[in-house]
Amino acid sequence: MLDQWGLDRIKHVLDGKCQSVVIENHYIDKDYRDTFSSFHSKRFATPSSRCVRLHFFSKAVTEEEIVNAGDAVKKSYLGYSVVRPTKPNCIGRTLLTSQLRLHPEAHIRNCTENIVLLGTEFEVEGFPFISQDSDATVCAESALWMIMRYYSNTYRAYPEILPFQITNLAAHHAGGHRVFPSSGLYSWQLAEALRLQKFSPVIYSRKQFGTPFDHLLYTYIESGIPLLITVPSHVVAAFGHQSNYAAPCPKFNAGFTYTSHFNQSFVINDDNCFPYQMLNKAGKQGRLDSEYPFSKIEEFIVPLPEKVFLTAEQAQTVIETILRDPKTGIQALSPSLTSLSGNGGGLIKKLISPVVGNGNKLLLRLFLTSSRSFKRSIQERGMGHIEVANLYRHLPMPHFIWVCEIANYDEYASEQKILGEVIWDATRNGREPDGWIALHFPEKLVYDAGSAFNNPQSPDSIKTIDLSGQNSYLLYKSNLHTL
Amino acid sequence: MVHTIELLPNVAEKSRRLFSDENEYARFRESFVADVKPQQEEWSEARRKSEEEARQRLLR
Repeated sequence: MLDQWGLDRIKHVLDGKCQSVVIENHYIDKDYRDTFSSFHSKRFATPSSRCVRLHFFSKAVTEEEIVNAGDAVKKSYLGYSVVRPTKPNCIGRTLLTSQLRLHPEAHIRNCTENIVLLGTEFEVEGFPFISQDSDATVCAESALWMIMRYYSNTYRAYPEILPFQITNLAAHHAGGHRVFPSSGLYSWQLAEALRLQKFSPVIYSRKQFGTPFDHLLYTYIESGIPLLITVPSHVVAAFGHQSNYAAPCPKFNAGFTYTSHFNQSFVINDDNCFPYQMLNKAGKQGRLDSEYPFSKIEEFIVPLPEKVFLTAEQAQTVIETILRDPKTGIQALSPSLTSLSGNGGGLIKKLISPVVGNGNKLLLRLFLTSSRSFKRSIQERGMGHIEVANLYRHLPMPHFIWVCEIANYDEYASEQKILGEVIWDATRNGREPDGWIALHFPEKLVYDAGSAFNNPQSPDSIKTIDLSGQNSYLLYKSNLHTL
Repeated sequence: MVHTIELLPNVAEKSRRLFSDENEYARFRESFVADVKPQQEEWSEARRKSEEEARQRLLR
């Protein structure tokens, strides 16, 4: 059942890391059985309805060791791959630990599954992968399946969806085409399928968004939201990135630059290849890298949660505006950040300005997160000052917030520390001046006690607290996983 | 009627107003809306055209 094509792909990820493989014959795979029932069983030459599941271990294991379920065996579990009787692509549902990724410094989004083998439960953390069978499913359904399986594994709000159900989601909008054998999907159909699964998808085209396109893509990945990214006639799932802050410090522009400037690669699952491939800014550099450079990414589709009304570019515009405002901005409230921004935050005019000027070190990182997760990180991070930590703990916040961290490049690159942040309500629209929840600079904390309690913002509700003895503190890390 | 809930012990002593009066606050709001409007309109247009393009992009 496992042909050379499939073997090669598995070897790309496991080579040198896997010491033993346990073969589970006659495995009934829910995803393959779904396409088998709806499509493959209707063919004259009918393939088997059963699969083989391969389990990978980083050490030699015996049946007895697996049954006894010792810690060493459990820790050595690397994940599984279902091999289907489909041609030309036999690799079905696969979840390999993200520790196998080729670039250990990459930051990625993971989900967890529990697997039972010989009665013993194993846990694996990674990002789901599946290859297209090129009949019932092609790249579009496969990429969508990977994203959807991540969500159903992670959040109870999203139901598990099987490959042929995805094909059928698009069938409602087939527009006169037959649905299977699949001849592909238009990218708007992918967005529509996401909408039918309770998401609020937004679409970004490189041609329309221009220079900020890569930065916005990075911002969503940094927010821990797996995306569909399209390259010519093909779509892949993206769920991580790899940055290089060890590169020489760039000459920052007049004001600040974003962490996206240092992004070198996105981590993708391309159904034609293998899990955890790197898609590099400069294109293919190693034998196993994706063939596509950033410039070939034509579009990306973001499965935004329902309660996020403010998109990344809108959030960036409102946050930059507040940071350069003569009353609420960096220049007015923070002499130390003003000095970091060279000739002053008030001069910042463009979203992503060309990198010119000398000696400026102000670095911003924009991301979306849940206030629950943000608040959970407060104790560990300290937030630089006890007053800030106390206020953030008590302050009512919306489910989702946009956070723009403010840092000194040198300190961020060497110690992963920041100096402050802006917190913005993600349920606002892009024109509301009262969407901010807090402005935290090294010298001052400004907060809005009006909106937080569902009262109108007013001059009386906006308060500022002087912060003396503020320290830098750890950046927020909960959106993505590191090794 | 606006009620401000005390978030921190002794917050009244520690906190000060950022805006001195209604006029200053109104100027901030007006300036904010005027500043963000052109850029937000550009983004909306880019989004609308992206959705149009998505109708032509076949993935297989």
